[in-house]
Amino acid sequence: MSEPTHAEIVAKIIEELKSLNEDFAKVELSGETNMTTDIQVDSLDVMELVFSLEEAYDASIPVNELSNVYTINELAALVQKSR
Amino acid sequence: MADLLDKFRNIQKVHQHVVGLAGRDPLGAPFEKMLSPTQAVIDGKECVLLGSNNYLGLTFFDEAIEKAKTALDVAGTGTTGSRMANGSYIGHKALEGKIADFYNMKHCLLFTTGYQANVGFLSAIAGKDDYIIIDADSHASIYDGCKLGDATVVRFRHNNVADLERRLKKLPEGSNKLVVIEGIYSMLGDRAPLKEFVRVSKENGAYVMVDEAHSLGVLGENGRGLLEEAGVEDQVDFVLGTFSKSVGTIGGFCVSNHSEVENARFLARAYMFTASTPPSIVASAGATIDHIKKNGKELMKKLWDNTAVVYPALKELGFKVGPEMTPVIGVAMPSLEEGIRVWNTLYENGVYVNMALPPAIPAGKCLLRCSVSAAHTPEQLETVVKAFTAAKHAAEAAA
Repeated sequence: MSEPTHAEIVAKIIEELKSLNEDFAKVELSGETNMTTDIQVDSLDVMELVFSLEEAYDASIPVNELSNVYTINELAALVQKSR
Repeated sequence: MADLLDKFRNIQKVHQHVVGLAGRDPLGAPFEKMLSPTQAVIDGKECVLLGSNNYLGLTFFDEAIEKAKTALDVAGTGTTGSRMANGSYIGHKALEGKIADFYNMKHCLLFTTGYQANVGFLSAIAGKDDYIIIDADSHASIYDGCKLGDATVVRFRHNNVADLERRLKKLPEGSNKLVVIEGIYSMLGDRAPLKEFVRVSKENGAYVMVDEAHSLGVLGENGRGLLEEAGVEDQVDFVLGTFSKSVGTIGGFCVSNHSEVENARFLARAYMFTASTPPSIVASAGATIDHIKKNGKELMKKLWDNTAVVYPALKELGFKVGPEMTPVIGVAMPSLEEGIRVWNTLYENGVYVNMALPPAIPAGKCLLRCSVSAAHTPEQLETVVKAFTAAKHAAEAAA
């Protein structure tokens, strides 16, 4: 698999979030969206989102590092780092 | 900016919403009188207990009660400190020997609770540069133990051997790895594919820990849990367990054949900085372990016979139960409102079950967690099936 770009991963995260929760499909999401304060993604949604991204990009993201992730951009960067 | 106490206020709103919907508090049911291991008076109503984790029904085991009473007379109500500071009572050492013997292992460390066993052991064994690889459905004590330590924590999809293997292969070669598995998972009641998990863990140079909290006295010919049932007792490095389920009291332990594990006593903060198990608890746990050694097979047969009544009946009624038949039966509800309606109908028909709400399960959902006991009588099981039938009819009427 070729190296995915940051923008591609951001687009994938947005797509996954919208499929996880119909409320997320109703709002405008971008790399700047704060998943905790803007759309209140709960911990189980985060887990499912991370599993989907790990499978899509053959990554393995340490649980400890997720605590420092708030925005979609930050999550995309973590995915790239964890491949 | 949010006030410090807003966290409590927010959870209070959710709790009040649940109580308002139910007309009573499913998360704080008042047990006014225990009538037997499987029967109690709850808020003025006599109920069959189908949410107790009392798998072998030994909370009223007469010998355990007698030995606990004697220990109270002889050694007092508590140790008032940790074993590091206040020393080890003879009973602590004897119970450690008894549990090690039960598992055919060389070493045992007692913890004051099962929660502390996981938190203490996991935070002690894995440090910076080490990796702990856990199942996504792990108990909160496993997550908390990981959080307290400095290891890198990797999570794999629940019971998914291929996902574990993929992740193990991505970790740095030569790094220290500990794979953590549970015997029976506490919410849905499914077993881990342990033999396969052990195989991929060993192939990738990982140590294996199994938490047998819900499988001690439930699985394996002698009740030693999933590692006995799966035939991997000689390959599992650490077994964690609790006395708060089949053993009918409270306390936790870690057993192992690795002699180095004894030194966890000087690293596990949940061992070092809390009071040790009171003598009466030590005495009752020891008596019950002896009883399980002698009579466990007969008790487990009753437990599985009773499970074979409840699980298929609930499935046949159309309830969404866990993927396999074990004494832990999680019944998934489509919504909080439906969960409360079913919980209430069960209570009104004389059956008490546990209600699990988010964050233990997905948002907006509700799980009614049932646990079968060897001590349930045929009449009690009939009450259980009738109550679930009534709940099904009530749900159909409301639809």
